[in-house]
Amino acid sequence: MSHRILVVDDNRDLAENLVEILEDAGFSADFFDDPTTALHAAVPGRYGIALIDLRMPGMDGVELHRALKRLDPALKAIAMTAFARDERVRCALGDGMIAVFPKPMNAANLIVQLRQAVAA
Amino acid sequence: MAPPEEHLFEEIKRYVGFSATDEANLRRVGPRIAPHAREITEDFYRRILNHPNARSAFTGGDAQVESLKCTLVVWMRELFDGPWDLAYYERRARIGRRHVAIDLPQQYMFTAMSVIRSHLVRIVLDTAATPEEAHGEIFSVDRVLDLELAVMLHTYRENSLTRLQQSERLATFGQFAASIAHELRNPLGVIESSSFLLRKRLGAPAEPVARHLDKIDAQVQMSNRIITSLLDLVRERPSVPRDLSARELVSSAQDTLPSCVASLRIEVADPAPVLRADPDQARQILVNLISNACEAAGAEGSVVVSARADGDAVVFLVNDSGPGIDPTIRKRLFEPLVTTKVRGIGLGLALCRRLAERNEGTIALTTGPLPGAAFELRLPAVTTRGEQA
Repeated sequence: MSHRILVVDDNRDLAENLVEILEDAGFSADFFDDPTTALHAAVPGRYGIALIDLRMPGMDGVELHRALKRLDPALKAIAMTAFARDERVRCALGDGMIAVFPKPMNAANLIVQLRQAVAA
Repeated sequence: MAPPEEHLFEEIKRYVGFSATDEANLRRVGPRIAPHAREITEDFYRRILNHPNARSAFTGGDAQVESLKCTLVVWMRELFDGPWDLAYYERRARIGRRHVAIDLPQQYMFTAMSVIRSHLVRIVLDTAATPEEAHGEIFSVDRVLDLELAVMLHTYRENSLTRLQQSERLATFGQFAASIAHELRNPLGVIESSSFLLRKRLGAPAEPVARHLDKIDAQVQMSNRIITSLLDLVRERPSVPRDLSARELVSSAQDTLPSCVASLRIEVADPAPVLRADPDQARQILVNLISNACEAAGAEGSVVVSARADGDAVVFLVNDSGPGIDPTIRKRLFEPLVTTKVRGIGLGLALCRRLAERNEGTIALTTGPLPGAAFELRLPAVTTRGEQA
């Protein structure tokens, strides 16, 4: 399985920071600030894990995750959200996303979670 | 010159045709009713409690019903004694407001009044000197009961409109505040992750750099806590009332209090009055009031928190030696976004009032022994049989 991580967040600054943090931790990662572009880039097998913001304009994180899973059923995913009580959190977990991280996120915890996901 | 505006009560009296003859008739009937007041009251509440929908308005159990029975006996005495003046109107208006507070459906006011009316008419007929006298007296009883209904319905309507406007305002504001609060978490996420990366890039930075990074992280966490508490404020949680000792409530509020620089004095009546409210909500109200008072009083000042029983309520007074409330905002003090603090957002008192109302209580600005602000919180008392006047 690929260990490359796909980061999708419409907040470009956050997406960039996340990639930097992940690369520091030894992962390789790409970021997209637009869900549609991310979907085009996600050819089957390229990414092992996707880190997806739940609220994005155009296509929300839940929809993007469903579309990504259709393309690549082996892809694992983690959600990020600033809206802990959002209905989407339940959908995300119901759709099988591994975890939901509330923003602002604790980078150290995120790395631990990603390492576990890769090892699983 | 325009004539002075007629008070609503005078207008209602005129409309019903309530005259000096009625006053004389009622005063004559009063002593004949008095010996039956208790039996009328018992029948009145027996009927209400037999009706499941009406019964559900009484959340305070037997103690509440007992205390209401006493109130009804007094009510009946006043009905025949008068004077039917503005003070009378004010007392009656409170009953209407109380009905709104307990969400009593209006139709029960009529059906309940009809129970009283038939008792009164029967007693008047049984005890009148002549049939002619009974005839006039019954008309007077009818008029005074119509007055009662008119006042109750008027205040009921007025009060429920006000409540509706308040809750709409807070609901709109709440949604707005919640969405802003959520949105702020995105930039906070960037700040936090950038700070995390900076730390890594810098390795072991020189002291001032490390100190600034620590400050950034601490402020991010503080902002996040503010957002969390704001979201807690606007979220609805139903009240789960319980019997609480005023003393325990005040000391639990004291334990939760962030810190109080002023000197804080607690005076709870002995024995401590017992009230019925949701413990968390009641504590939150007191914590908000006391911490406001401590802030206003400052390190040199003092704050007094007292609790005592007053009729069917337990009254808490939170009074400080600070500068008091600016007269220009007194009227709007309990509205959301109104604040006297430089760094306040004006949610505390709005929340206090909302929580007080959800617990069938009230909160108001008053005066106390100390010169600064004084807030009075009234919550329903748990009274035992025989304690009521």
